Order: sequence, then C-alpha cells, then structure tokens
Amino acid sequence: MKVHLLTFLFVLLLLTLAACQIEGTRPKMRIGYMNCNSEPETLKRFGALNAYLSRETGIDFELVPVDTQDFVERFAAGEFEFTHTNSLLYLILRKEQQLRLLATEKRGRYGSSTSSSIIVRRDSPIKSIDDLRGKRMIFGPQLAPSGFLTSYDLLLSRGFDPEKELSYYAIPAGSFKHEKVIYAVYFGEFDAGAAPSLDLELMIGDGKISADDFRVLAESPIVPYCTFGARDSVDPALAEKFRQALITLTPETLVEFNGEKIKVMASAWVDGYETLADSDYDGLRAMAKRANMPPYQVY
Amino acid sequence: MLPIDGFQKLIGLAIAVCLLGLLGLLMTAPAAQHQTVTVNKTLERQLRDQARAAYLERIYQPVAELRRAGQIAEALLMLDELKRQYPQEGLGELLTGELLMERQVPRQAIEHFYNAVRLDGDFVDRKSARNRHAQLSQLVEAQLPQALERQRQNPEPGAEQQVKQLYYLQSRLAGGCE
Repeated sequence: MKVHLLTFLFVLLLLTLAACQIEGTRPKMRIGYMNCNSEPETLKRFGALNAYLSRETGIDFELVPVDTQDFVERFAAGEFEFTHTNSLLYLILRKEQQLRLLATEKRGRYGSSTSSSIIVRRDSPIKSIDDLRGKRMIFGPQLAPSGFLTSYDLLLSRGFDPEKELSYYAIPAGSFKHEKVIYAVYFGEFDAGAAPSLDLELMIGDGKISADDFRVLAESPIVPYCTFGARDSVDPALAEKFRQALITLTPETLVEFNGEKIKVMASAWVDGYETLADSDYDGLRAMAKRANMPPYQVY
Repeated sequence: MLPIDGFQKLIGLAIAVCLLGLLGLLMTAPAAQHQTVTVNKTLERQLRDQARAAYLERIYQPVAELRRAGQIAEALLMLDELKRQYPQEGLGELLTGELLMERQVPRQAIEHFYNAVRLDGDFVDRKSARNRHAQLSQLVEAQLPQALERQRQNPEPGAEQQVKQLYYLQSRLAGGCE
C-alpha cells in the first residue's frame, strides 16, 4: 500500500512538472520594436503587450527597442525574429528580407491607416502649397511614412519639388521628432511642417495644442499604420498563433506585468489589430517609388 | 333616541351638501391638473430641444464653415477639439462620420455613425428635424455587403465588429430599440 502511494505521488509530481513549463525552459525569441519617439517610451509602452504575446504563444519574448535607422541592419543580422515597425520599414524588410506580414495596428480615426498633414500657423500668410516656394519647412524622420514620405509625395503630386522649391528643409534630431515638428511650426521656427495627422489628433485630444493654432494646407492619402511581421524562417504555426493573439485582443484583455494586472491595449496605446493584405501597402509602395525612397531608390 | 329638531335637520343637510361638493371637486380636479402638466411637459421638451439644437449649431459652426470651404482635414481637427469638450455629444460623431465619407474612407466612417446613433437616437428618427435616415440607409446598403465579404475573407474580431455595427444601424433604421 505504502509503495503504491509513493509511486502515485511520484507520477503526480512528474505530470505536474511536465504540465508546467518552467519560465527558464520555455523557448526564447525576440521582438524588435521600432522606437516611435524614444527608447524609454518603447519599453514602457510595449512591455505589457510583449508579456501578453509571451503568455499566448508560450514563447518568452524579449522586447528589443530598435532605432528606426538601425532596424534593417539589425534585422538582417538576425537580432530578432518578429518585428513591430512603421509601414515603410515593413516594405523594406518585405522586399529585402522576405518579412511575413502578420497584423496592422489600429489607432486614431483612420484605424489601421494613417496620413500626414502639411501645416502652417493659423496666422501665416501661406495659404496654399504654391505659397511654400522659397519657404522653410520641417519634416519628420525620413523613414516615417506619415512624418516624411506621404507629405513629400503629396508635394510632388501637386507639382512642387521640395528639393528645388523650398529654401531649406530640416528633420529634427533626437527623440519625439513628430511633436518637435508641430511645435517648431507653432513657435514660428519654420514656416511649414509635415505632421502625422494622428499626432495632431492626439495632441489636440490631450489639450497640448488647439485646432485653432494651425491651418492644414493639404492632407495626404491614407496608408497602412504600424505593422507586425515575422521572419520567413519562423514556424508558420507560431506566426499564426502570434497573429491570432494580436487580432483577438480586446480593450478588456488583461496581463500580469511587473506584479500588476494591466489592460494590454490601453498600455500599448492601440485600438486593436487587424489583418491587411500585402496589396494594401501598394499605395505606399507607389509613393516610395515616386519619392525615390527605400526600398526603391535609384542612384 | 333623542328627537331631532328642524335646526339639526338643516345642519345635517348643509354637511351633506358640503361633502357632495368636495367629492365632486376631488373627482374633477386631478384630470384638469394632469392636462396642465402634459401641456407644460410638451412645451418644456420643445423649448429644450430647440435650445439644444441652437446651441449645438453654434458650437459646431466652425466645423460647418471649414466643411463648406472644403477644408476637411481642418474640420476633423476642429471636431477633435470639440470632442474633448463634449465627449458624449452624438453630433460630433455624426459629423466625423460624414467628413470621413467625404474623405472617401467609408470603412473608418462606420464606427463614428454607430457611435452617433448610440448617443443620439434622433439621427434615425424620421420625425426628428435632425434625422439622417436616408444617408444612414445608403451607408448600410452600400457597406454591409462589403463588410460581410471582408468578414468571410478574414473572420476576425475587427471585421465581425464592423458587421455588428452595420446590423445595429440597420436595426435602428427599421425602428428597433437600443
């Protein structure tokens, strides 16, 4: 009887150990998150989402904050298996590294899309794109679709070549470049700016600026917003599990993170994820070609 | 039993007349009062609706002006500003939906129309001066087949939610309740 009991307890212990994967024994992988504004913000913003993805897929994901300019190089060096980038980086990684499209982020009034607005101060004498000739303009980071490419292409589509017709244009340095663009116009440092429409929407919503402060000369067509992708060597079943975890997120989804139960979507500042087709990025591809931007630049 | 004299009979008769008079008053008075209250409530509601409509027209005037001038992007930003001040106002959501339709992004407009009707049933009430029955019917007719197709191709929560929102609008347009 005693032997039977001991055997039963031993089997029970083995089963318990087998059922419960110890943290250290779970597979490890890395997700490269493009820094939208700064590295501390990326770590704070995506920590809970990363923990959620780890829980749902059974993989211990390491959150790797990556500077936009370094992203392609670090991905090519094999530093991470999954990516969270803007849609232009997705295009580059798709073309050069066969990145697999997983899901697109939804935020703001255009959902999984975004656009840029060319703004001037409300009291500016500049009333149209033609009036920008000989003026000083500030753009967002060069690899930002709604901070640079879509505005640049918008100007080209109106017959205005920024390289020849602006007296000068600049891109701010350091972190929070999009906000710097908006404030640079607000404080009169530049005559005009290329601002992501989402940032204008959010900053007005937060009361940082007022709609009355600016005039919008033109708004670009919408293009896909931030995008999750997977390296083509990732097991398709795992990639699908990852995608399912993203698209089934709801505002009520909770995750244990740093000893707290946190709402995943609110913590990551997103309204959800949805599946787009690669062809939904064709409009952005056409813009990159017209603007002679990566991955289609010709020297 | 004590004998009853003429004076006592007179007093008894006067009391009976008073009681009958009071009974008559009690039976007629409440009906008259109720009518007065109904009239006042109707008047009050009409005054309130009119004042609200006039006030909303005034606060959304800048949006209307920008829209007339074709400044859709600025009108949308102005709505963001107003949404911060009046987050539960259906008209802001409705105008956002209309502007997004003008911007030719109907998929993004659906949620705003849905929010608008949830916040303010007048937009689907044919009797209301503020109703957008025809416009919303057109939206549902055009977008529902497309949303169902998207859901068929990508059966995921986002697509399902949009179908639900369109069904909700369809139901409210048909006279269904919240």
